[in-house]
Amino acid sequence: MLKYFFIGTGLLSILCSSLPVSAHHSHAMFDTAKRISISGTVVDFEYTNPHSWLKVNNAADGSLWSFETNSPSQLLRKGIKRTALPAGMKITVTAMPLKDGRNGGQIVSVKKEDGSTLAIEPEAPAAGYAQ
Amino acid sequence: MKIKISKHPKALLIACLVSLLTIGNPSVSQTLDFSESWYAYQAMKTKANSKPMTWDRLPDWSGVWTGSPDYLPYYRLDKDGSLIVRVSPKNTTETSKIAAPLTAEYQAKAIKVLQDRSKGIDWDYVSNCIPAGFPRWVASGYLKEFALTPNMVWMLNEEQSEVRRVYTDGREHTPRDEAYPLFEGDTVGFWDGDTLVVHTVDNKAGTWDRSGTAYSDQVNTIERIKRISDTVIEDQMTIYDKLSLTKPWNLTVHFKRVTEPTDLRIRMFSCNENNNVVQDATGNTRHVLPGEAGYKDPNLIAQPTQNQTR
Repeated sequence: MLKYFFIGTGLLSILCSSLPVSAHHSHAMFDTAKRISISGTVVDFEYTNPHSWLKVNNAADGSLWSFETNSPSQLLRKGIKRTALPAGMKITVTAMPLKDGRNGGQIVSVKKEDGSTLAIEPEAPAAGYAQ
Repeated sequence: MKIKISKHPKALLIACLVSLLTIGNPSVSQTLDFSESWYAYQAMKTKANSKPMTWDRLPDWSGVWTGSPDYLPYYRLDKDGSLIVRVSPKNTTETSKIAAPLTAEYQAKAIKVLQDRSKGIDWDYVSNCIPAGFPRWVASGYLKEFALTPNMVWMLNEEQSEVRRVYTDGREHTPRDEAYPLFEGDTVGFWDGDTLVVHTVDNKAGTWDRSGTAYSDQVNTIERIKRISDTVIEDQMTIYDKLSLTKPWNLTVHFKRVTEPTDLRIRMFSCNENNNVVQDATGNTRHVLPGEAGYKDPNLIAQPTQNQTR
């Protein structure tokens, strides 16, 4: 009986597994075990499907960084509206970097100049997290 | 003449029922290649003997729903190369070797996907804006809506605005000589009280989810879908696939009502609105960033310009 419980639960997990919430593509390109911080100004907050993107001008060297995040409905469920990050706002992005070292990553959180933080993904990777 | 009575009355009853259905509807038995699920579905329909649905008896499935967020992808290879899963998403100990009813061919396919992933090669067709399709529809992490009318039900997925159309007006499946593989399949159904019973065939081959485990275009399903509480719609599925499964697979999926924000709406979803994911030369998933060749600027993508990059 226990054997069949395991079978059922295992299979259920296969069908139902879809994480992170932003489930449009594999996360193999991100180093989910690392975190980087980039401070700068918002160039554009693309509130779009299948993912939203935050473009940031890095204050350190003027380079453009592109950070992927959730879809609009997923952001709305976290209370993050399109107006949350207007162009020109000074912010610090914490992100999982692209493994290949290019200027991009997936947003973990965004800290604004007033000290408030938009939390989007878990600060630490989940144990056993599969990309 | 002696008549031998079966020692198993239930088996005899099922055999009789199948025979009667076959005799009573020879065109079905001669033309459909999903007989096991179809006869099980027909038996449910006969047993329910339900009257046609009416507006006043339709259940209330209004609202916006999502799949359970409790399930993590925790499907991987063991040291010996076999498939392994954790028993519970909240249990981080890998205690259960998977005993999936996958055929040997599909187990090998699943293992190959995970072996490639361990080498840093990972690709999911959904990344290329191909629809998730059904049955993967139920595992999609995006929002769901259910629109009920007496003769038809629409099951709507936010992701790529995928729609499952369920005909409950008594019609049969699309005639075999007109059928062809579809992302959402061809679905008919009936109401058994406040439970929607549906049968789906004619699906395209796909994968169950990001884990990469595949099903074939022979997949066909029976679902019993019911709102079991204020916040949960339950979908009891039985999945048949003679190519990928060694036996029918029973599982239950819960759609949970979104309660916050209360006025959340599902919008039209274009996957190409801002998708710069490509498969690189190694087969892995890669982002194209602004300034790189092939980058598609979402602010220019619907403009009358020949150059959508900047």
